[in-house]
Amino acid sequence: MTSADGTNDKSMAVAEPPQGKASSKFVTVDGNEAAAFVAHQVSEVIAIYPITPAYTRLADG
Amino acid sequence: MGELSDAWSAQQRINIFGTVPDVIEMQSEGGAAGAVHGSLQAGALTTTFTASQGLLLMIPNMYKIAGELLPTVFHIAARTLATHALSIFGDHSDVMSIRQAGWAMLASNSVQEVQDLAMISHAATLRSRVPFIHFFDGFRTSHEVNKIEQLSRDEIRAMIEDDLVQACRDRAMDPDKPVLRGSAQNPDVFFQAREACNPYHNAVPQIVRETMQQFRELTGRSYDLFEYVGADDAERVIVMMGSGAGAVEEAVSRLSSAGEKVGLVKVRLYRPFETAAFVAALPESTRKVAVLDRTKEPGAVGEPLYQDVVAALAETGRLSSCPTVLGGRYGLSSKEFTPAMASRIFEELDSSDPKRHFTIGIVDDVTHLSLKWDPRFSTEEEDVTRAVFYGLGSDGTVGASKNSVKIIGENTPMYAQGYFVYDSKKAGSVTVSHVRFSPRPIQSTYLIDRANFVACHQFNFLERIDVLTTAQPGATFLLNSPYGPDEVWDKIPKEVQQQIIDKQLRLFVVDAISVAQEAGMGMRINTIMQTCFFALSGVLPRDQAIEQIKEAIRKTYGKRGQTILDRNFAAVDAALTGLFEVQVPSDITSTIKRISYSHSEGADFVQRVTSMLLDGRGDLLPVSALPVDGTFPTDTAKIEKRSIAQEIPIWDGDICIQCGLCTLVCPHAAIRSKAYPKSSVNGVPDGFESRDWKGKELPDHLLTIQVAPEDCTGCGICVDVCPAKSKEVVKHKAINMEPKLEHLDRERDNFEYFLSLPEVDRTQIRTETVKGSQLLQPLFEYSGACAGCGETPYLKLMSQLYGDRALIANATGCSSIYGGNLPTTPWSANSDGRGPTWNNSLFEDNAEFGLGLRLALDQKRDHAEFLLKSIAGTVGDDAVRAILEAPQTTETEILEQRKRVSGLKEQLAASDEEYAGKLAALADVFVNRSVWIVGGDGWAYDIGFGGLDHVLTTGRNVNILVLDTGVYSNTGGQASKATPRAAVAKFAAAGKPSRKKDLGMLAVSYGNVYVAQVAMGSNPAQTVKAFREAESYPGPSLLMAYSHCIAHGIDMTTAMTHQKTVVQTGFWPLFRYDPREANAGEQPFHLDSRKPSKPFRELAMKEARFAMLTRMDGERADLLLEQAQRDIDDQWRYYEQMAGVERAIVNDFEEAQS
Repeated sequence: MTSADGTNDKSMAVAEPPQGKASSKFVTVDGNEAAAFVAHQVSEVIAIYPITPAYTRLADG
Repeated sequence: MGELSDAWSAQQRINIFGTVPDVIEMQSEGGAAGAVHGSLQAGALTTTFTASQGLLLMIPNMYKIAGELLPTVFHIAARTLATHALSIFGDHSDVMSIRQAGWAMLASNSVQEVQDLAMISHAATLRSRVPFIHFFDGFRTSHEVNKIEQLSRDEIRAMIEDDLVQACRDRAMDPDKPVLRGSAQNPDVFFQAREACNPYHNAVPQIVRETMQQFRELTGRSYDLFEYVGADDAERVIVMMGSGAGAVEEAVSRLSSAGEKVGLVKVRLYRPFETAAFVAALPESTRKVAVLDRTKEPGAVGEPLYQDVVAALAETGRLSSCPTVLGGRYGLSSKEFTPAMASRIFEELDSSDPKRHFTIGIVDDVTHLSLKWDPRFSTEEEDVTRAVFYGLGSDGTVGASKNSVKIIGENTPMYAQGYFVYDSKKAGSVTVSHVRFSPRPIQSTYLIDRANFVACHQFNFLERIDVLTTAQPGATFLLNSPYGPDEVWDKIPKEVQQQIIDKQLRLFVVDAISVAQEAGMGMRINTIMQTCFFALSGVLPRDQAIEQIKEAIRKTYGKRGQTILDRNFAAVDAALTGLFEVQVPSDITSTIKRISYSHSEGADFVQRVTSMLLDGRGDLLPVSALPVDGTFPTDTAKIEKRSIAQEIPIWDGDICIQCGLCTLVCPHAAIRSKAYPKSSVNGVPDGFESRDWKGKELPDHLLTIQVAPEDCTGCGICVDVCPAKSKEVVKHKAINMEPKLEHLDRERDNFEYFLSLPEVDRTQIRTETVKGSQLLQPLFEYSGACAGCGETPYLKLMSQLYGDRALIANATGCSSIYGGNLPTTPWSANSDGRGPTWNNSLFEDNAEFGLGLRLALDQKRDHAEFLLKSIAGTVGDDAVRAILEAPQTTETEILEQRKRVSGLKEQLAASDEEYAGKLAALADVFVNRSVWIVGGDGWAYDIGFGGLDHVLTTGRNVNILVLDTGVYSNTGGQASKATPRAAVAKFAAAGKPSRKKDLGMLAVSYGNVYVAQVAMGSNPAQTVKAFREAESYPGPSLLMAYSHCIAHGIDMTTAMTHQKTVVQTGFWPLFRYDPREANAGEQPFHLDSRKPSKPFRELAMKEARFAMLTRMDGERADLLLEQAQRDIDDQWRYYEQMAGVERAIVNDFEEAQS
């Protein structure tokens, strides 16, 4: 935590970089996107019907 | 998942085979599963995504797909099944209901695992030929944003073997090598053939194991069928699957490092359940096991995973060394599940007399199954930033929080997690964003209850929500405040002051609205609050944080020009200069108190239960407080008083022409008109306005138009439609939007007085007119619908006309959420206690459900008639005939019948005839009941169409009201068959290429269905007329009501008057088709709107759903808009012909019924 005037900035100490290969790509996504990311790449036909929560509203206020 | 797939395919994103996946929206999940089945049989790699009821609808096809060994993966965001109530939240009741279908089932517990196990599922299904359910917890995982390591295209490519894909093609149905599948088999071979698949199912565990090994070699991330974490010498072990494992793992880590011998087995491959692998995962030292199920199976020995574990231990001989197996239920409907609860379960395992079957997370004071846990147990680490942001659904808080997660997650080595909680209101909904930043991966799968940073983005929340309950001692509290650091303290409710002092919080204020307005950002405060968060939290060095925020702004708004960018940048810089720390006084000084519903007036249940929900303390209610069968009182929305409007309508009686339009169109019944006898006036508050009622039917009556100041959402629709304009003052009408705070106290008193005035005598007014209908008490009021909603005014009108004798079947959708989502319901009752009785069965069956209501009513009436006739001797033949033959179309006739029935019941009470008691219990059914079947176009045009179509043919007396927005509004605006050509919707990202289905003409074709198409904003008199005709028609009626929607991309304030354009272009012609007129030899089809006078394009350019296509793809837009114009021209020609042609019906309605 730091004061409002910006002194004493202190970023977090990060222990280790995340494990993985040198070329690892990190993204921040939700579970639905993580599943769809794979499914869309390995499928040819996708038949769907909307229902919560299998569908993430793409836009929010 | 489906929307993303659709959007990616619309962007021509290719799969690993180099083609763009064909994404098709079906009419229901049943249809989706059927299409998947066919596509698999014809040799294409096919998938789908669903949850809950959708998964249930897929079950018949899932048995077929497994029986035919067709490799596929269904990705399921596991969600509660509707039982005593619908819940959109997460548990395993859906996936557990398909475990016998013959599918492999793989569970993911986190966002990273969702990606990884999705991959493993797709690879393993090809290898095994057994189809896979890949599931993860709805909301907790499906909607949690977390930092994950993304698979590369090469890695995905490597996991999918070409020869296995080719094998699918080779097995496909093909006339070049014809086969027969889907045969019907007899007892001679079915059984043996069913057993023939065994080797394939037996092979699945090993195939999954090998696929996981391959995955580890590729990515370094390791998975197993069952995974153990915890002490090597653990004696007590929890077994479970799903996101809750994150919470348990944290507890295990904390407890085992303190020397406790505890551990966790995470079940990944749930089906086939390999007993040997499960037992091998358990440490040999294990003596006691608690199996946690996130589902409920009433009547079973235990829940499914428990039974599997007991059987596995028994079959492998491990039960002797591990004799204690407990089964626990947790987390139904996303109930919180925390490390503290896990810790309590380990304690229970240590108890000398543990509960063999228990629940955790609730208080069960009825069957006493629940374990009481100590919430003070925490595994939160000191070096983790835990921030909670309170915002409004419309203020961008969630967007900014997601953005912060992205900034940290994708631009720093730190890990980030975001989880977002919404309430169920569509207007003025509260959002709570839970954000963690950590140097380590974050598996805290529960809400933050020890925040070191709390931000409240709306000052007025302080009076309504306990925002500091989550703050830990010494936390930083950032408040968006219109008051500066020197004056804010006294403006804070005393409860909040107390918390700030007790918890020694640091308090900071920023006047974000002023900063936003000065920077030209209007009311958009999210960037300003985000900047202040980064400045205060220190999660990043300040300069770096500012640069990252600006970079994010560049990405989001870059295309919208330098001016927009500069404004945002200015707001970021100004935020810091407007941020001040408040010197917190040591004393409570405030006279303001936080609003509590707990002491509000109301029926007993409301005091005990509803008020707790409204106070945000529903989690504390014990089992005994809740109804056993899902029955709740109506008439409760009135106690909420959400007070979300900035401006409210104020009446100027001098100009008012008493037309009733303002009350007709009000989506929230927050502006009322009442005519009352002058003699009833007594003790009028100062400033309460009234004028003489101008109608001749009510002599010596006054009229008042009154706002419900705390129930109004401030949409402004009433003012927009008001036709009475001042001749002296420009823009001054008979009602005008004025700042609420200036009027609140007075209007609150006025409204209370208004409610105390007597309701109008229903038999004395002309309810067939708009103004007459608007004197009737609405029995649908203050719903949580969007401000300016186009659906609710129709429901309110129906409730005014027929609410005191209405049964409502409501399809799942927007109307079931604003109509029936706890804590309250807008369906209300009159002073006699009569009002609409309401139920929601499902999405797909609503017409049939409503028909069932009618069947029971008719049967009860038949029985009552039999009983009445059989005691005619006592009652008298004339009285019997009067009751049975009474006309009941007017309010007077209904009232007369009520009197007859009430007289009959008095007679029966005094009678000792055999049937008297039975008849008394049924007699009310002699007063005509009005059955209303209500839903949106997704139901009526798509998923429920088959049932609706069937109900129309039954000739039964039901009224079907379709609130037609032309999209699936509740799930976020997906295309339905009501979506017009050229409109952009989800699943029609490039503009819908096909024409809107003409549901009205389909219904007209039956000949014995009353059909009308209405648009209240265009012709309110026609709307009222159609409602009356539909209700009075003694057979099925179909009312299609044009409902504007936020999904249309229009200005909601002018949405009602906009409906005039909608009709003038011929886009939505108004008509009525009345079979009674056909039977009488008259013209039954009335085209009530005029020939189109404006081109469709003029309408299209006023609605973003069409206009956006012209920006995206001008050429396609031109083509589709031209086709849409042709649709309109074509339809109008057809309707004109209909209106000119008399239809002869062979059988009249009565004959058709016999």
